[in-house]
Amino acid sequence: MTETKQGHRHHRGEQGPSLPAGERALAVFGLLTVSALVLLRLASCFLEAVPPVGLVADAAPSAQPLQGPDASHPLGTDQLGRDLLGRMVVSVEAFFVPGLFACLVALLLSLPAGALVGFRFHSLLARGVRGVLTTIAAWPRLVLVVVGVAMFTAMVPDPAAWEGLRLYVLAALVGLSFVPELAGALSERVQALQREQFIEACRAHGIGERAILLRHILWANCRHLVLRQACLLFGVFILVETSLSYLGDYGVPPPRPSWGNILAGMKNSVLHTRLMLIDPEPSTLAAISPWQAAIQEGGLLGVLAPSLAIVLAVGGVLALAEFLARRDAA
Amino acid sequence: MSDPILDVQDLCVRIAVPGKRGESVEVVRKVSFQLSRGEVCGLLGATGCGKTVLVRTILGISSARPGRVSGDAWLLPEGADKPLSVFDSNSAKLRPGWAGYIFQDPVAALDPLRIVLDQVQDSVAVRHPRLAAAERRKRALEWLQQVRLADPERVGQMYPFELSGGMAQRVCAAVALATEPELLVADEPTSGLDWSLRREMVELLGEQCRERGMTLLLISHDIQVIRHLAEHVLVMEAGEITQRGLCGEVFPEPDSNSYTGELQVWADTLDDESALVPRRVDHPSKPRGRRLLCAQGLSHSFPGAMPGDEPVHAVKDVDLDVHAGEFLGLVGESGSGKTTLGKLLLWVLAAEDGQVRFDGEELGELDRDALRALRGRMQISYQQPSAALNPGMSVAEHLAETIGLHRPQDMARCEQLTDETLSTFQLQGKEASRPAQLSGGERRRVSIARCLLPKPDLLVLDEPTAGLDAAVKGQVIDVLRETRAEGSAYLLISHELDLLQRVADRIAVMFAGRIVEEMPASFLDPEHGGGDLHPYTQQLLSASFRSPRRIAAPCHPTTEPGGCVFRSRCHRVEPGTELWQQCTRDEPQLVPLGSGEQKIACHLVAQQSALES
Repeated sequence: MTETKQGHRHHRGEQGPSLPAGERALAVFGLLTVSALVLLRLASCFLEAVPPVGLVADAAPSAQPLQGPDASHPLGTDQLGRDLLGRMVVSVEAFFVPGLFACLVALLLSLPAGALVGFRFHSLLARGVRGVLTTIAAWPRLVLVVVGVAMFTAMVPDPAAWEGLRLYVLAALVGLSFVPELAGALSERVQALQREQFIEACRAHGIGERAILLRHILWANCRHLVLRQACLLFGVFILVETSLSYLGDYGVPPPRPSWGNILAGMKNSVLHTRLMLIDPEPSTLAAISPWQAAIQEGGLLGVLAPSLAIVLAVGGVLALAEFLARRDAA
Repeated sequence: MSDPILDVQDLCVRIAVPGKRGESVEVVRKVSFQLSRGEVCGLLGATGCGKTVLVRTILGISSARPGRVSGDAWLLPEGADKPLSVFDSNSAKLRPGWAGYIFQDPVAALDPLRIVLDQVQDSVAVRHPRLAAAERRKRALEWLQQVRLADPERVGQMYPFELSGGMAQRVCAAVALATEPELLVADEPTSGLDWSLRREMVELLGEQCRERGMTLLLISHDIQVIRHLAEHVLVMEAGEITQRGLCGEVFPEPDSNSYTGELQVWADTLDDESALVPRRVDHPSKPRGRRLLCAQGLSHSFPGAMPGDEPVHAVKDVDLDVHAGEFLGLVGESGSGKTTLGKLLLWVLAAEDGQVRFDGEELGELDRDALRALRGRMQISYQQPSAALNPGMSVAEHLAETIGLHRPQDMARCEQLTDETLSTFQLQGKEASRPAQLSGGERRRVSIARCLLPKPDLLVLDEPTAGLDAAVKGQVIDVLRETRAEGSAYLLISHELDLLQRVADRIAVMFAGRIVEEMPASFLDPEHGGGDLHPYTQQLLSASFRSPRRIAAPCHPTTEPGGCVFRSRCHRVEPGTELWQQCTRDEPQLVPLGSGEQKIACHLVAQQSALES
């Protein structure tokens, strides 16, 4: 559809809306990031299927801990001697599908809620929905998520068996915490559109209410907004997941990797080495000198790589959201 | 040319394309012309041909950066020994206010936060910087008087948003004139004005120029405005001046291939009755079709602008019939309630009072679904087609939706039907365009196409030609004439009596929410005499540039409510007479006159015809 449209525009030689440089950069960056994430997710399936080294379990490390990069470990190893690159790739699993799940939850709840509140603002049902939305919005996002996950852990009989589900509970809660925002933005847009004359013209033309809402308002004029909010939510979910994993208890449970817990682990071991070196005896210093160089190398990479990955992934997804926002405004 | 005041040589202006770095289009190409002192010159061209950019560059108020402009424009102010270049820093030595500019959108050109009088005083101060405050105020009031504002003291204290379109345009003229310019540029001074005010504004400008020996450059896309006022005319087409000369020389023998030709053909078509052969059901005796739509006692009011204000009666006690297959025109000035009436007739807007029967069904009593089922048989094309089309949907999507909705049996050949429709409306190749990518005329045609696809029995067209060039206007009228053959009844709402007179069978005249007259269109022809027309209709007729004499509307101040709504502007009754008392006391009802073809709401005409018979 889009292709034919563009081809058509080209054909007419019209100076149609070709993308300005800034927008193009946003789109390229965003799409590159998203495709990179998709590729990494696919790669992680492969890695899981054929575990080359102790990727996940605390199994006997096949390599030295905190080893610098070499041919078999391109990014070196972590504090337990596991391959860092492999763990970085597998980490994508921690937020990819759960992130999409968060978007799904948010959209499923906020699309009908936003449409209802916007289209029938004064109806009794819309009032109720508005009340619920305000109640959810009154909770700080992180508090809602942390308390929710804690309650889930407390309530299930065997937390260890349910660990895999915990991420999805987390995702659902993040999605839920986004519902007031998304539904609010949507209902405002729907309300504004409803005052437009073309909606009155639609009614005069004989178009039914449902078609007006679904086709003329939601599909034709709100899809960019919704996509953009979904992107935003995905980016925020990456942040929430990595932050919680970094902090420990609520995020991805070790030994499963997440950029957050890799960062936390590496930070601790680098910090420890540092502490050991504060009060060195000359003899020990001489003894550990080559070993320490390796630590420095491996440790630094181990801290840098996950941080950079988080920044790039979140930045890329938000760039895509920004691009969609500008398209929407145009 | 003797005593030139402005000499433009090979002027080119490039403007950057928004959103594309480094790319630019040449909007003014090698334009050369001269203006001599005291002449009135018209600059004619379609919307978007570069007229405004040209004059703004000459006056030095364009946003085009140096380097994007080539060629030169020389100014010769009075008393200067050698010409000054516009692009030279010397041009700053010109007397402030040497040139005046009347902006296209008068309300936007005025400062919204200051009263009118202050803004005129600013202009006076430009010319006479050392004037005492009291004297300055006096002169500002004089200028407001000069532009024929009825009550300068009161208008002077108003803010721009309180002014009507005509008043704002006059205030703008006062602001421009108060600097006592040698050269006045008027950019579409009539585009925002009502039909009846247009001629007044043009005549006002002409008068001021003659009195002061001012040079006037009049920019317009309206051939009639230019022909009425200008001696010389420049025709601009896509950035170039393609024709120039005396008005009388350029217009009579148009080259049918050129833009003037096209404009001229349309202006002529509107002028020349024979060009529109099947324009009316010519014989009044021809039996009318069955009564399709019948409205009785329709009233609707809107809440006042501020809380506590009186509600505004947009439509009051209107009775109107529309017969199958007829072309009914509804005319009146802006704000007379035409659009509201159009919506009430189709029950797009539920009337506060009164009823509408469409083909025997009373619309007010139908439930939503039954009413929607009827919608395919009655359609309305909105005044602003840009606002009536969904900005997020393409032309093809709009049409496909209509086909699916009203002609589901044709859904299989939807694409073919869309193509046919697009070619009927000369919109080939626009399937994938969004409304924002279409021009005003194209949008209008899409909007009309969408309304005609269901083959409605009744189509209400709200100002289908407002804001369009003569050429595009012609295309729209053409389309309407062609589709007429399908037997739909049309209700054409317009403020241009000229247009309706050419295309409609029957005309209803509306004033202040009431229908004051209904008659066959032939009653407006000059040979008919027009003796027994409503005074308001007479005034509307005389506002046309084709009319020999304009009837100025007097202003009889009336305070008490009730009586005839038109009496304060009626030129046929004097306050104090016996008739005036009747007009103040009773509101005239719409009564049939003579053979019953004409209905009129006027005490005077009713009395006269009673005397005759």
